[in-house]
Amino acid sequence: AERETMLLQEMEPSDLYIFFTKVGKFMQTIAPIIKWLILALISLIAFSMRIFSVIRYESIIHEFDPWFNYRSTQYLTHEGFYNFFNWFDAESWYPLGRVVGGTVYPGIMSTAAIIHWTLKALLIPVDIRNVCVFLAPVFSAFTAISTYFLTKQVTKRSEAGLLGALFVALCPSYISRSVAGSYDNEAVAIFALVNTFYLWIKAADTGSILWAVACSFQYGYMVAAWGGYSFIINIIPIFVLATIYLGKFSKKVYVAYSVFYPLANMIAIQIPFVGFQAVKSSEHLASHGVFFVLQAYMVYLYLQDHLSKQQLKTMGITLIYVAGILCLFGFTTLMVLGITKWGGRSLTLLDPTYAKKYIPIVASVSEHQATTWSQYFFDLQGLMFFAPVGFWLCCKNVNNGKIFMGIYGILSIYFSCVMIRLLLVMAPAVCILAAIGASGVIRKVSKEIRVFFGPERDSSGQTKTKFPCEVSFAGLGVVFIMLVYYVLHSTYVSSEAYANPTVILSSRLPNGGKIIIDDYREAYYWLRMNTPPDTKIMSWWDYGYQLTGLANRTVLVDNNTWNNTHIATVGMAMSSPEPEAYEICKMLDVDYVLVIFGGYAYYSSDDISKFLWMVRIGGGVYPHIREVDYYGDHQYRTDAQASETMKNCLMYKLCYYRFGEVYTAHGQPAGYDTVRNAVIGKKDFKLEYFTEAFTSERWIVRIYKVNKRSNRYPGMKPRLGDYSETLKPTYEKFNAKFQRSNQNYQLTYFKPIQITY
Amino acid sequence: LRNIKQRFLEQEGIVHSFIESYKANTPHKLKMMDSFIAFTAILVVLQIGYYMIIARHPFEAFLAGIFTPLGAMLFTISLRVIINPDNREEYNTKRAIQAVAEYLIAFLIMCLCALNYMRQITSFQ
Repeated sequence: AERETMLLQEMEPSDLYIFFTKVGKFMQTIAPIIKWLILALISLIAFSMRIFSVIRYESIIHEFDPWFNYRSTQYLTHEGFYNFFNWFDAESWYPLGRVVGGTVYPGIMSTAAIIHWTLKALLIPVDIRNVCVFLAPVFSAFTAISTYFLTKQVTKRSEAGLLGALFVALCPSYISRSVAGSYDNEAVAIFALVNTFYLWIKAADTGSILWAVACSFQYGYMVAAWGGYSFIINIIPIFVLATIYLGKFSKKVYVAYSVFYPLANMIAIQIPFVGFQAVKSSEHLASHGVFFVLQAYMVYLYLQDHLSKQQLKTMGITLIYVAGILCLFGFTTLMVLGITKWGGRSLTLLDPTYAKKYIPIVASVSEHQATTWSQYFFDLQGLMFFAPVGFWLCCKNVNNGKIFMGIYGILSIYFSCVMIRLLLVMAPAVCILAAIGASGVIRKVSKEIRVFFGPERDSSGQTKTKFPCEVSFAGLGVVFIMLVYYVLHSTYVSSEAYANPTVILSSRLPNGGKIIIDDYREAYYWLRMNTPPDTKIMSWWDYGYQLTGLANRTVLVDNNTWNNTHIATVGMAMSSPEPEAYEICKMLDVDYVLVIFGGYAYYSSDDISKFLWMVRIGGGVYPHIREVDYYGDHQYRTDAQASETMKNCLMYKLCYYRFGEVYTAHGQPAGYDTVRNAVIGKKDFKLEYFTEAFTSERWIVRIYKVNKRSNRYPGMKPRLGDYSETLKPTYEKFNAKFQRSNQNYQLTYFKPIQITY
Repeated sequence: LRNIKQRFLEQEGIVHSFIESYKANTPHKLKMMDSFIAFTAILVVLQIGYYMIIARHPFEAFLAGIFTPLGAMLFTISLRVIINPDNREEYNTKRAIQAVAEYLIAFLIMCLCALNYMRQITSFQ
């Protein structure tokens, strides 16, 4: 009877409930062990998800850029740090050379070299190639651990941290840039990025000088590793401004930024590639500006302790107006006068149409195109649905970490819309927000289930749940299924889409078996074995790093693309008729020309597909090359309707030489281009100035030798670049004398075959 | 015009009252730190003046010369914020000796960076 009069009644707890509470208490005692076990398993997953290509093919460096990093690392391990920072590479950008020491981010090479030397010192010798190939998976495991700490610092809960670590370990866009073999800057840079953010939030939360020093060290490592460090040096000042604006400013944030700012700039200046840009480039202006504003604001806060309210008001307003106007005026002047410069890629971030109009090289890179919706879903899948939930949870009960995550999320999502390659910077942000969202949902739902099964009842005998119990179970089930599908999707994507070494291709036979297409390495090794060591090779810039890495020969242009005019000259050579292309080759001292042709092997990313970019880049510097000349029938085509300019240019001739004799597809005549799906326009032609030196097994790589000049005969007109200026008068006198004395001889025998330009 | 004169006199009065309040309320230790802060600020101004008037060529020397005293100034201000008894409610768990140790570490690293930068300049030229 007494129980029924109570408003809040308690029933006898059921046996099931007692059992589950006992289990819960036991789990709480072993929770730390389970936490570390889960974290270790997540690191293992992160590593093993990325080694599909090593298992399928072999341990080889992928793609294009990693080959240069690998060659630099080899140089570093053989020659040491001093020679590496002073290295002048004469084997690329042929007549110009490249100052590697000053134009490279040394972070990843130094990391691989130090790991290699450390393992050697511990008597575990690991070949430098294997260190480079497996560096990215190992660092992705570190990134997962770092994300755990970052999420835990933001939400103060380990469950969100573990979910964040799992999401980052499996995120497809992060996997795409950190598979085993993809030995590129992003492999270590994403770890440095997440770690810098973790240390920054720790510094802002504790206000300790030591954490801020650690953050600036990690930032220095990021500057050494990747050009994306300008994201960090902008987001931290924006965070400081946001704390001031939202009223969450505390002296701890001031201490953190004041210690971070000078040390970060000092360490950034040490890297030769960055150097003066720390103060001279517009990308760093935000950090300097916010520094001044922060000092002014701190002075204002300090004066609050010493002046009365009225005096403070007059003084404070003057101070803030003066400081603010000075800053605004100063920085606008700096930018307008051009004293500080924006980089081309940064300008593309602010105005996405900038590169297309002014810098065709930046616009032509496939990674710089705008992102599509399907790309977002492919790279994030289930996280896309939890990230807005996490963002909303970050807006409630804000602390430093949540403000930072909100800003990081918004900025990275905006920049990822501009360029595909920036999906990578967005990946950790979305993973962390999704972890916050998913763990928030699971916590609420679990609480409802606990209350439902618990002993508390309200006045009408029902449990005090906010919504019916079926909804809670359904919510839990939906979240669980989404996470399971996320894991399955990541595994599928990592296995099918991102395990492609690009140097080795493979395809399937009709009976399901696999054939390996190893044409690239076949051709590069032919070059390595059969040409003199000082051979110069002309090819499009995509293959430059691979050529210097695998074939060990000198190239004219490579993926660094630092000299647009040189690339335009190569583009002009590829798009000119054969005699003019020959003269350009002779001027550049080229021995071999290399083209990639996919028309025989259904390989669609070959040089004919890229040819219009060669024309555009060449036409940007040499105005006589016009893109419209290469269109036949208002379209880019290579069949019978192709324009005469197209059919006579060097690229056409080198790609389709003797292709008219070959049958490629069932039921089609000879010379059927399987990629363009048409029979080529000009089939029987001979090459006058080039000789075919090597064609790989499936015609993918074709190498041509540049012929020597033919012998001279008396009375021949002088040609471009034939002789030096000092010999010119002698030669002309000689010619004139011969012409006068042998005119009849010439008229009868030599006139019909005289070569004119 | 009278407005501006009145404003100016007002500001001067405010500055005087601020100086009186500062002399009265600040402990001796913090005053010594403040003098060091003022000294490093003067160093920064002197460096900028040297750069503008006398010699611009080794820009690296200018950068190192700006950031080292600036860093010293900011570290000392941060230490002052941490051990200021007015900030007790924010920094109640931090011991003063720990803050001083961290300050020394930061200072040391700043000097090491400056030294390394000087070594870089001499080895380039």
